[in-house]
Amino acid sequence: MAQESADLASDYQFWLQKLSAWEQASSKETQKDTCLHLSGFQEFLRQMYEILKEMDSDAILERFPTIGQLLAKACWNPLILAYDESQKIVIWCLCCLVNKEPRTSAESGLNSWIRGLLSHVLSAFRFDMKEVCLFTKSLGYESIDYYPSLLKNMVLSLVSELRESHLNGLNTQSRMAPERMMSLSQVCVPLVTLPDMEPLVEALLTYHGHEPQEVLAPEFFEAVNEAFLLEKIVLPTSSVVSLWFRHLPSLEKATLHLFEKLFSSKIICLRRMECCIRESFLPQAACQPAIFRIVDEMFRFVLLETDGAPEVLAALQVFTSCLVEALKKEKKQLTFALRTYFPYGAPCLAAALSQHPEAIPQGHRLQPLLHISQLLREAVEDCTRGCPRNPFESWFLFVHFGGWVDLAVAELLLREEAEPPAGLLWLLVFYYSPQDGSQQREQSMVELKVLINRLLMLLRSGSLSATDLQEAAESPSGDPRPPVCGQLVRRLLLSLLLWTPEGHAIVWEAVTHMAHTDAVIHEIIGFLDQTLYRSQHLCVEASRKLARDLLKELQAQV
Amino acid sequence: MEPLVQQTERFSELLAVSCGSLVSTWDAEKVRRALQWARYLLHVYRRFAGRGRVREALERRLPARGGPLGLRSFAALESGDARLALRLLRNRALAPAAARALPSLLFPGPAADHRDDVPQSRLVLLARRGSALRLLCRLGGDAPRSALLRTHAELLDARLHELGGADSAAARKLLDTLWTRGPREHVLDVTAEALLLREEDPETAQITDPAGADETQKLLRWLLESPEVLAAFCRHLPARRLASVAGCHHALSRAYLDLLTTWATRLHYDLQMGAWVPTQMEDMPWEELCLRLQSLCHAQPFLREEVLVTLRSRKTLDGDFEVPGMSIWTDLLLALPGGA
Repeated sequence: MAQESADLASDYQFWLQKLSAWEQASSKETQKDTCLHLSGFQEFLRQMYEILKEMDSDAILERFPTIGQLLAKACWNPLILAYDESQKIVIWCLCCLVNKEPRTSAESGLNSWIRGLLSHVLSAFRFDMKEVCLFTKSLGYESIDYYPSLLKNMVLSLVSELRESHLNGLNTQSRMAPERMMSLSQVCVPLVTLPDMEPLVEALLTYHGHEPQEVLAPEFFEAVNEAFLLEKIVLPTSSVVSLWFRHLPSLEKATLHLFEKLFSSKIICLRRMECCIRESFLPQAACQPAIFRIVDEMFRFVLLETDGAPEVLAALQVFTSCLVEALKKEKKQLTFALRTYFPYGAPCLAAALSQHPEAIPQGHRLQPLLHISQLLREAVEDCTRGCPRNPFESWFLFVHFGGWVDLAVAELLLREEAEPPAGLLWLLVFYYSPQDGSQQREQSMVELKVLINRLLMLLRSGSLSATDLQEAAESPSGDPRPPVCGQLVRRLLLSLLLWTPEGHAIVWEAVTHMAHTDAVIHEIIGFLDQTLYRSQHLCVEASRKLARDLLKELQAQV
Repeated sequence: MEPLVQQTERFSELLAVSCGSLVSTWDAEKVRRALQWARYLLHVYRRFAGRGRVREALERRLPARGGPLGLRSFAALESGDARLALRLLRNRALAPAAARALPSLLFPGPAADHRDDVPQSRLVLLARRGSALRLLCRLGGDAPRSALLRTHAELLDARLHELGGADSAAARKLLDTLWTRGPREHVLDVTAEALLLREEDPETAQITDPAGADETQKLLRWLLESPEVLAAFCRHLPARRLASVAGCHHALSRAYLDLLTTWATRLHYDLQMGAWVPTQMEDMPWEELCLRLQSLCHAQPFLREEVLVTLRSRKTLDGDFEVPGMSIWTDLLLALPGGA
């Protein structure tokens, strides 16, 4: 309690000093400093109000003798009054200060002073020219009548000024001076959440000046971004894209904000992810290669930091598919611009990967898969150039497009021929363990082939049981597999269970066997969710229904 | 219905006296009651905003009791509480007990944040908007002035609309008052702006506001029927602006042209200087006359036609001289595009 008191006292002093400094100089620096502290000061005001509302006027003055000064300075600072809810909280604080039973003339004087201050706050704007004031009075209008209209017209005038300045490109005389633009953007910082200001905010964001460097204040971009992320303003997509394009920190913040939403829950739900991603406007913005590169970089970083966490992978895949959709809407073909989006992979690889797996008819799926496998293999295992390339780059490119792995699994399990194609095996092993050396990978491929053959044999034997399946999945030598390959094995088993009629019969039992830890259950849930979300073209309705039921059951368990 | 009307009239009276010294007799209870009535009337407004008959009935009774300081229209019911609040806050004559109670009545605190029938959130919005205006105007430039002009034009338009119908006697009175009180230049600027108000977007104006022309007509009639104002209007406004306004209103363009030709006759040719000079100091000089006629010609094709026809007929009457220096009409025509 005492500590809180001490903290408040020092905060109080801090803010009193700040307010005094701000009122003495009204330079650009002061304005900038004020804008930086607006939200902090509002927080402080809220805290003060919580305390003041429990006290009466005398007690307040005893504890905070300079409270009048503090509140008055706040009232005379239009930047503070313009911000968010600060004007409301200041008014509430002033109301607390009113002496309900004044006994001395000083106390009455205080009440009178407070009323004056309240009156000032409510009519913060007065015309400079007395004569103009007279005209308004002659018409019989008061501030309540003309403030909304005047503000609307003010915004309109400024927007026209900006538009004209924009159009008169080379005509330096009618251009808006950079200093004016800077001041304008600074002044808008506290006002971005005021609905009347929306046309001006939009016009500023989409104004493309003719100076080489940015003319708008960075704190303006920050304020708009913050308001947008907290859903306090509504802006058209083009304005938001413009904002992020011009102010890198805002883009990063927006991406982090999205990541927080996506990765906060351990349970992966792709539909929810898609919703969040779409609403964030980032896919539309990422149609600009420069923006995509930055978001991609952040995905890459998180992927590395979390060692390829499944929710990050899933989010990346959903994001990429949203991007592809957004590009289609913009009538740009992804294939033409690929180099600019994915400079780190071979162009032919990027081209191959960006085709739509769902669009490929059954029976023609093997060819593109093998092609991709070959390209990736070349990129990863190419030793002719001397030092081996970093396989991570190729893997990172590959994992953007999740549909191919689904396709590869389907091809392996539902084939009629005896031998599983080596290319598909390579692809799957690479997807799940990119960091393996070529020897380890060869070994894994062999084990995978053995497993698949066993599974297919069991399938064709006519009597498939859950225990058979489990045995087939375990290694003959009994040594525990590294977890990643465990994921692959489970995926194969689950796919088999879902996609074959024989599998349907034993699915519940088999899944119960598999689901022995929470981590595994989450993994299975993720797989089921992904199947429902993405693999419509691979599943029949019966499989989908089964997947839905399984998913509900497992979700209830965790 | 009748109780409602009475309630409205009573509140209107309260509102009217809230600026004056009568409030020195008010106590906290009276203020509370007044605000309650205001709240009730706000609900009335919301309920009947779409119902023509009640609205009309109320509007017919309104201006009578309250006068210009009371409730002026049905629409004013929507902001009655805030208006009363602002007036009382500002009124130094308000009895101390009432004045003490006022702040907490108006701003009850977070509990009232989501209520839409108490003035708190609207007053707070007003404060925020006022600060916005202060900040934006501080930037300077043309924007504040043009915004102000436009707002005043809109407000004038609204007042004229309130005076209802085609009866322009009340409109005349209002406009005469404005002209007398001044500032005159501002009145002229606002009049020009108001006359251009609907011309920017003629299509939508036609659809959404077919009766809007009424207000413009009232304004125009007053202007044309007040010679002093008209003369000042035609001299004070810049040539280009006046030409735009004239381009939109034919009657005005005729009157303007008549004035210009009258002013032209005041010039005489000075042989020594070789130019047309004014007879008296306050006459319009040659250069300005030319500029104004040129602006008219550039504004609209039909205006150009009118100007040329007028000048040509005068030239003929004068004797149809071709030599410069003999007839001002000849020289003016020479100075205009397509005049020679």
